[in-house]
Amino acid sequence: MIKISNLEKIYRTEDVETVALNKLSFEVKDGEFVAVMGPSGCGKSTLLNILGLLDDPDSGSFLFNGIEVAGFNERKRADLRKRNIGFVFQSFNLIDELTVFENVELPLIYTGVKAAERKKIVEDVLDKMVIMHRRNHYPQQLSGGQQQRVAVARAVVNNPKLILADEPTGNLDSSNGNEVMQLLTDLNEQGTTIVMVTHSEHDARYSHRIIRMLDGQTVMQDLMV
Amino acid sequence: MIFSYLKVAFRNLRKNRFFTLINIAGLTIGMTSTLLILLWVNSERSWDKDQKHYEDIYHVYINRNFNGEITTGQDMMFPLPSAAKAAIPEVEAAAVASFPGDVLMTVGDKKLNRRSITTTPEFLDIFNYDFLEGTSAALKDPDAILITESTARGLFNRINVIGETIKLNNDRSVVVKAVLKDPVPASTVQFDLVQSYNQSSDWVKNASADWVNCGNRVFFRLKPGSNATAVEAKTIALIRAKTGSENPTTRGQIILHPMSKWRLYEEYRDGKNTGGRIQYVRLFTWVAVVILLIACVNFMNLSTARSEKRAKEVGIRKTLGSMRKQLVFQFVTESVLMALFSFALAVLFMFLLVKPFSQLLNQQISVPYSDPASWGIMAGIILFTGFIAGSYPAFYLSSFQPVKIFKGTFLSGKQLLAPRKILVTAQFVISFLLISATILIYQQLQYVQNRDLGYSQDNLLMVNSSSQADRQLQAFKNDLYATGMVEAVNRTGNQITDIFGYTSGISYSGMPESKNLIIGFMFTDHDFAKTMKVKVLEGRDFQPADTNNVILNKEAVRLLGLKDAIGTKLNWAGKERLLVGVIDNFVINSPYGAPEPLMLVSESGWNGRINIRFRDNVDIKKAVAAVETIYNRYSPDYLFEYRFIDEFFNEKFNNEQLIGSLSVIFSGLAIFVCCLGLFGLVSFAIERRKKEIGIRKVLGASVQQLLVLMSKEFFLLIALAFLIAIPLTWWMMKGWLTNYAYRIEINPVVFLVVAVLVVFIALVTISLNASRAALKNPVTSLRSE
Repeated sequence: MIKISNLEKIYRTEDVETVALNKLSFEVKDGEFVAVMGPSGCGKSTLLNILGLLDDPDSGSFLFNGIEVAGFNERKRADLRKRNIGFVFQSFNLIDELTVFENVELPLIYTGVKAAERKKIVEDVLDKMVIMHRRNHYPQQLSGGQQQRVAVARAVVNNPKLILADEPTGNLDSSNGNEVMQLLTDLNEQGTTIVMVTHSEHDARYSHRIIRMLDGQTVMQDLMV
Repeated sequence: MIFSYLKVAFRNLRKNRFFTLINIAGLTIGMTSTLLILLWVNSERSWDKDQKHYEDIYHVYINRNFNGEITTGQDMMFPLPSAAKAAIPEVEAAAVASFPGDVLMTVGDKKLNRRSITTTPEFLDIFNYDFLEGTSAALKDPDAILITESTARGLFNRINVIGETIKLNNDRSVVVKAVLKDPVPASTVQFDLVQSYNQSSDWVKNASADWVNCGNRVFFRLKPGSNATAVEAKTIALIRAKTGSENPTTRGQIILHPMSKWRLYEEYRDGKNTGGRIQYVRLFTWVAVVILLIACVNFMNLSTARSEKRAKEVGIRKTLGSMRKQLVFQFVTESVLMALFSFALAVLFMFLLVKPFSQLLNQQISVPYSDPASWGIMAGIILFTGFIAGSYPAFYLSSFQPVKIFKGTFLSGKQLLAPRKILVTAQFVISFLLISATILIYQQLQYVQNRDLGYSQDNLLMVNSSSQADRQLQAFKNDLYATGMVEAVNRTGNQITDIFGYTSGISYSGMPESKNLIIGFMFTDHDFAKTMKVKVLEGRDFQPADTNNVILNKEAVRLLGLKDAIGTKLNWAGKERLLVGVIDNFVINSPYGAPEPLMLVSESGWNGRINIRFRDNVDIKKAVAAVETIYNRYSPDYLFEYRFIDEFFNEKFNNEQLIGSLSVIFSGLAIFVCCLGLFGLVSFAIERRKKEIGIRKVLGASVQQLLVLMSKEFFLLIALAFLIAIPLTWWMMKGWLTNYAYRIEINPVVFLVVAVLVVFIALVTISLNASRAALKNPVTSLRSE
């Protein structure tokens, strides 16, 4: 699914040059659940942005499903992204002005699914996430756990091959956190590849493999059984 | 305390540079426009104010009654002033004066054509002018003249010219007895020389006893505090008593037209004053206010839109014990400070622009430094702007509840969407109206300028005739034809673009009693239709032998009710005249009006203008040079001066051209200010939705989709604005167009074009801002979490 080699990303300001990714290489296979760990500033978020096709590497290769996507322009990346990748953020990133239903519906609108079909798909997903009863509420009216379930629903509504989760439990208490981790595990078991950035060893244990990063490089990979 | 407000105000303005810049730009443009318009308004309103007796000077007008039809005229009877002075105690001074006319002045080889007024010595008791040389006693001598400074310099290159002799019209010699400062440009009464009526001449002797024929102007100066209406009544009573018989004049009414109305209220219709230039002055005063209001609206919109950012400050200040009125005062201080700064810039721009602005309007506009009222108005503009712009945001911001702000349940910015939307819509209504009005004004102007006039103005030159040329007219004409460049030559009493005079005295045997009509007349001679290229419908053009015949236009024939017109004998001005031709109507006087009835009279002695029609495709410069050579051969003592008829014609559009230019400039500025406001609002809307845009982008929204998203709410407002503006504009412009008999129909395509234009302008404004947000990497807006 993902094969990166010698990936480099450098941030420059007027007088400082920060190497966020330093010749980073690894591979994620179809159906894998991988956790990425490391201290703050080690390049996790940069990696996730590149994997999510939100950002472009400065050099190196990034094969997504066997296609070289490093150097893709914005339009191509967006196209690839909206059909293949779902995102789950630490701060949920739901749109306050839209209802639960409308938030989840959004990715389908952008991939051009017809309204009648959208309704069916969204209702299906909301059912699965057990938030159907909240469909007409606004994000502010939900608890954190509920909001994150909506966010996960939104991430999977397009049936993506890959879910990228950035600290998905960071803003949640442990019971809500566990619930979300269980959701992700279920999705993975149904065949979705998951790459999750986390600080939590507890959460990381849900994954198959942990990639540990330091200063933009992988330092070791643990295999979980 | 005030110092603290100023300090915070300064820091706030500095911190929000973008916001400050947009506001200051908007307010500066608004104020500059307002200042320029007010300068123009001031200059229009200050006409004739240099006169010491401004309040007490009147021009005597008469409403003549022709069987119920009222026409207002300035021409009065010669003996009126002296009789009025004797009989009416309120009249302090009264003078008769000729209408201004050109006079050829010759000194040695030097020739100048200048504007002359002939009057009586009382003229200088009414109007005051600065004497550089000599005294007002000069007017008591019929062989003396008074000349202006520029005339003296033109003829002699100096001003100490008392005692110098000047020949007038190659006829009589006069002696300069006084030199006056030129009348100021903003003065209705303009002249280059003043002559005195020769009281011992036969003409004056006859005129002094003639209460029926009217051909001169009369001015009154009343005693301060007099009742002008009472004087009007006494004057017409005097005229009725002196005339003894009934005529349209004695059936009419006297109007004392006060000097304060000479410039701006010069139009009369059906005997009543209908304004005049004042309508443009009023219109643009409103435009000035509207532009300033648009700028204020921007300020309000931007201030309330970014209220979220100020909410915390309000909460803290209130918690620390600030009273609401202190906060109001603080916010108003900020806006007045901004208004003050903008005003300083506006004054700078005003100084830079006042000269080009004057040139554009073709009139002198100056800054009235010395007038305390103008300084008061300027201070008023600053405070007005500061308070209008600042009050609403101030009251709004200061109403915040600290508890709500800190709890975060406060949703400012969103709350005021409705009033903000109304204000934005109003701005677009105004923009739409201004653009459409400008286009329609230009369409009307174009339409009239391209009107089929019924004669051709192309290659039609007019030169003054002279007694020398008149004596050898045929030889002069032959020489003109011999150049091969001249197609036809004809003489008229005046330029073809104006009617010479009006008469109600045409009759024929068997004419119905009710046909007491006013018909325009013009003197001319043979080849009139040929030279003017006017269509002859019946009969023929004038021939050299016609010395006492007339030609009517179609409209005059219709009004006189003539059947089988050719051969009719018409009685007019004491002679029986044979009608030899009927010509098609052509446009004289007002290019906007319906064709007027006209009688052409072939009578020598009145034809002071020579019209020369050049052949098509001649080199105009060469042709004029050839005419000059021939003219100088036949009129060596006269000055060769020429004008093309289309120049005269174009002068008729001065007012319309003026409002056209003003509309273009100020509607352009108004729209620009609207766009500035829109730009600011969009940027705040985007700021508020930064996160949303980021999320949508991550979820796959394309740049176009994001632009649509961000523009949508504004375009709904614009659509709403169109719904309001289209009928409003239609109604207003329909009203304006009814002023013109010859006018365009409003074409709905104009509205479509303007709508597209406004949408385009708005789209560009929004895209400038929105595309930046849409193109931004969503990661940056989401990272902050």
